[in-house]
This record gives sequence, C-alpha cells and structure tokens, in this order.
Amino acid sequence: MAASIRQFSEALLLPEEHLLTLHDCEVMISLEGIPALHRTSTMVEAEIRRNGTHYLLAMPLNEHTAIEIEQRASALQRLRHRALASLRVLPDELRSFDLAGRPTYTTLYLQELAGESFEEVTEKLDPTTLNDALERLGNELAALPLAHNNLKAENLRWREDHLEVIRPWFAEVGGDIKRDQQALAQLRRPTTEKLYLSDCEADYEASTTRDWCGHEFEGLICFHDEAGYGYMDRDEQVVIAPQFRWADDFHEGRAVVECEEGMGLINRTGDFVLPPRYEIVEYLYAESIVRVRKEGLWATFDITGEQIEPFKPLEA
Amino acid sequence: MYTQSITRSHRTAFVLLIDGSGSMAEEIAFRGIRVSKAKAVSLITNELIFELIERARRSEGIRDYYDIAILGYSGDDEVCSLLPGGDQMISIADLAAQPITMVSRTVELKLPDGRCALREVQTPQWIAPRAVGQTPMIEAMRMARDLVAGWIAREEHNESFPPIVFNITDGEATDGTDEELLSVARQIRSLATQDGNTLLVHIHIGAGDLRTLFFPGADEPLPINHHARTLYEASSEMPACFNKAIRSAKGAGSLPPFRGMSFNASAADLLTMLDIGSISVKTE
Repeated sequence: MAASIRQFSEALLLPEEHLLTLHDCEVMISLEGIPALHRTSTMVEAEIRRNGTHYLLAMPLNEHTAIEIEQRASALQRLRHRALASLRVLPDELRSFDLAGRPTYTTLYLQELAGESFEEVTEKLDPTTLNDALERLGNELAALPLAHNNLKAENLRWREDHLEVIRPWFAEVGGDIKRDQQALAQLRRPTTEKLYLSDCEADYEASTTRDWCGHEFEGLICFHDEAGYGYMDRDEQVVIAPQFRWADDFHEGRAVVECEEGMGLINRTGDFVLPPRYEIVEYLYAESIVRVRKEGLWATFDITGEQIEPFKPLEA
Repeated sequence: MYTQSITRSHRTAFVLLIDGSGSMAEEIAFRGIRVSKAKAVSLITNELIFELIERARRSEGIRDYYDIAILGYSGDDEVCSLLPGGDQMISIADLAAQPITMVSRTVELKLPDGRCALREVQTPQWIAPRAVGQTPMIEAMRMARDLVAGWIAREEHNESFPPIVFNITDGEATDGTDEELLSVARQIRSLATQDGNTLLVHIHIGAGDLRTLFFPGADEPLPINHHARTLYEASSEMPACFNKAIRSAKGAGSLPPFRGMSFNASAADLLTMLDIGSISVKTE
C-alpha cells in the first residue's frame, strides 16, 4: 500500500526522521498544531518552506496514482516551458515502516510556488492584463501541446509577468485542450466595456400621464412631471417620487440627481449616497468612482460615499 | 459485487467495536515503546479517524463519504458509543466538525550523530483509552448488527459498498457462548446492500508470545486455538477487491481467499488491517 496521509503528516512534523532530502524543511502548521494539508481525489499536499523558498510537496494516495503521476512527471520534465511550474520527482523521499519494522519508501513530488497566487494577483492586476495573460497561457499550453485537465484559480500562479500552472496531476501531453480553454474562459474578468452590459436598457412607451419618460435602466425609468424628476417601474408605479430638478439614468445601482442645493448621488431607494451639495457630480460608473466639484475644487469618492481623494484643484 | 466506488451519493459505513475490558491494560510493544493495549488501540483508532477525515477533505470542506460508529464494550455489560457527543453513528463531516482534543505525544528521534532526542508532536484525539471490567462482546455485536441493519434499510444506501464492522479485542466474550457469538456474527454478515454482504473483521491483539494469524489465506491451516477458531468462523471471507492490499502486507506468496481476522496480532498488524479494510476501498 502507498503511505497513508497520517504517515505523510507525521513525516512533515518530523522531517529529519522521515524525509530523505527535505529533512530541514519547515511545514505550514494549522491552528490545531498539525500540518495543514490539501487534498485532491488523488494526492495529498502540504506547503513547505526550505531555504526561503516556498514549495508544494505532494504524495499520491494510492499505488495506481503513483504510477500514473510518475509517468506524467517524466513527460512534463521533458517539456520545460515557462507556463509549467517545474516539477521535481523525489524518489523514495518518505520513509515509513512496515509490519516488521522494516523501512518502506514513497516517492514524493515537489513544485516551487513562485510568485503570487491567482487570487492575490486578481486583486492587483487590471482585468485586461489578466485576461491577456490567460489567453497567452491558453495559447502556450495549446502550442506545447499539453492538456492540464484541471485548470482553476488555485492551480495557477502569477510569476513576474505571466501565468504558470501547478498541480499537473491529470495533465496529458498531446491531450484535448478544449476543457482547459473553457476553464480559462471562466477565469476571465469583466473588462471596462463589459460593465455596461449589466445596465439593462429597454424601450419604453411614454405614458400620457407624464410629460416626459426616459428608457428603462436597471428596472427603473426616469420620468418628469409637474413635481420634478423621479423614477418609476415598468408598471408605472412610482419608486422614487418626483422631486429633483434634474435626474440621470441608473447605472450600477446609482444615479446622479440635482436639487435646489446642488448635485448628489442617490441609490435605488432614493437615499443620498452623496448629499446634494456639489456644483458638479461626474459618475464614472465603469470605474465605480464619483468625481465631485465644490467651490472650484475636485475630490473623488467611491460609490458607497467613501472619500478616496481629497479636494484639490483640477490637475492640468 | 464489492465494486461500488465510495462517493457522496454512495457512501459506506464503518463500525468499530472496541474491547475496553480490564485485560486491555496489559502492556504491549508499540512503535518502540511499551503502552497498554487500550492506549495502542485508541491511538490507532484516532489515526484511522484522522485518515478517513483527511481522505474525505476537499477544498470546499469534508465530503460525506463515510458514516462511522465506534462502540466500546467493557465494565459490567456496558456497551456505549465512544464518539464525541455520544452519537451512535455520524457522518465523517459531522465528526470532523466536532471540537478536537489535541494530545501531545513524545517521539524519540535518532540524530545524525547517533544520539537520541525527544520531540513532542500534537495528535488529534477523538476517543480515549479505556480498560475496565468484563468483555460484553456479544452485546456489542448485537448493537452493531442493529446499527448496520438500520443503515442498510435506508433507501439511499441500496447500492452502496456494504458496511465493514471491525471488532478489536484481546479476549473472549464474557456475556455468552461461542454459539451465541457465531449466531450474531452470521446475522451481521447476512445484512447486505446490492453491492455485497456486510464484512465482519475480527482483530485479536495479543502480547506477541503466540504465533500470529493475520488475514489467513487459503494455504494456511485452520487455527488450533479454540478462541482463534471461533473468531475465524465468525469473520467474513474478504472479497477480491482487498486481495492486492492484503498480499502486499502479507507477502507475494500468500494465496486468496483471505479471512478477515487476526489472532495475537501486534498493534502494527491492527493498524494495517484497519488500513486495508478502510482506505484501500476505492473512494471517489
């Protein structure tokens, strides 16, 4: 039988006793004081550090998988490409003991976890750069050709200026890449243009009871009557009472309005997110920011009303 | 038969019966030190639970691949659940969600210069060792029979890999005759899903002073010892899906079919038998 998870776990706690070459590694420990393990259907993994470098150490869970992984690792090592995190085979790395107290050995697999995780980098990179990197990765895998067969966020790393894949436990050299391409498409982030798609716009026939009606945006229709501008739904039920001197359409749940006191930003219930005290309100809904002018100075807010830049003169 | 993979929609069940009678206080060798049989059994059972939980763990949480029951029998005909919270049978996800008691274990390390060093390592503990009183094994088996019958009766388990019952003991039943034990064993083995009959594995642990019988094969003589023979007759013939793992543990020359029992087994034998009976079953 292959070594068990508890033998792998114990080896990580006592590497000097159980690991052949990684005897000086440090393992990431969970709150309970035991190694933090990650499981897939075929492998058990742990994150370790050695000489300041971060690695993924993996062990197949059964003998059948062990043979398959060994064959895959051999094929992958011949490919050598920047899109593939290097995979080191550590033959007989894990030493455990059989019934008679004789040592038995299990081969482990080591991958460097360079750069940043996909989740971390998603926060930092603009969507276009990330999408370009995903497209490049897809092209690089197709050119090898290699089907990873398990592409998802946790199996991608951002290294310097490109994405690389880890955990190639199901990879097939020359395999069908259709599944990978679909997976990469799902990981793409919406770009600036796509933000407009969430706006729901539809033609609307003006009601005879209003003196003006706009189009439907996000389920709300701006209208004007003797009381001012307001918003109603498709059934002509008033949602935000007419009261404004001027009102714009809703985008991303916000709309710019103007009152006697000045311009402001409201939400879908008509409450002010930014009070109507500004000379100008520019709502850049594609970027989810609002630029306002007061007494000739400009400041920037987010769409929750949180100020993110102080008032200052407009930069030339 | 015995081909169903263990998945969330086809989970299986493990029932462990653990002898906690006074004789379990006897010391045996385990991983280079002397500990009571009760301590060794509790360590090994906790390791098995850890293994099952970790094998069911995925990034989204613990998947319900297994239901588990652990019954202790000891004292004056006392049979009770040893699981935290006292549940008779719970899913592995529910068990994993229970607060864990961490206990320290001292491990002796051999340093490169030949000196020895002691290191404390943390180990999760779900059940604690127990050694007191009699051996009400038959009552424990009756309770296991009822638990298994209830589990099998549920429609969602119709096609599942059948439950496996492990009885871990160091002695003979004190609450009935051999015939009664064999009768309830037959009842357990007759309980079946569409994938096969319930498997009953008896693991007799000893102090190592007698010849060990370990998953005896077709080529091995029947045990002479009366108690060993009773346990042999009370246990299941292991289906072919276990043959590879058993041969790997026993040696390539051993011939199936193998009987699901051991006699005078060491703690390491016990660990191997539990591993073979649990984690060698194909899980999704």
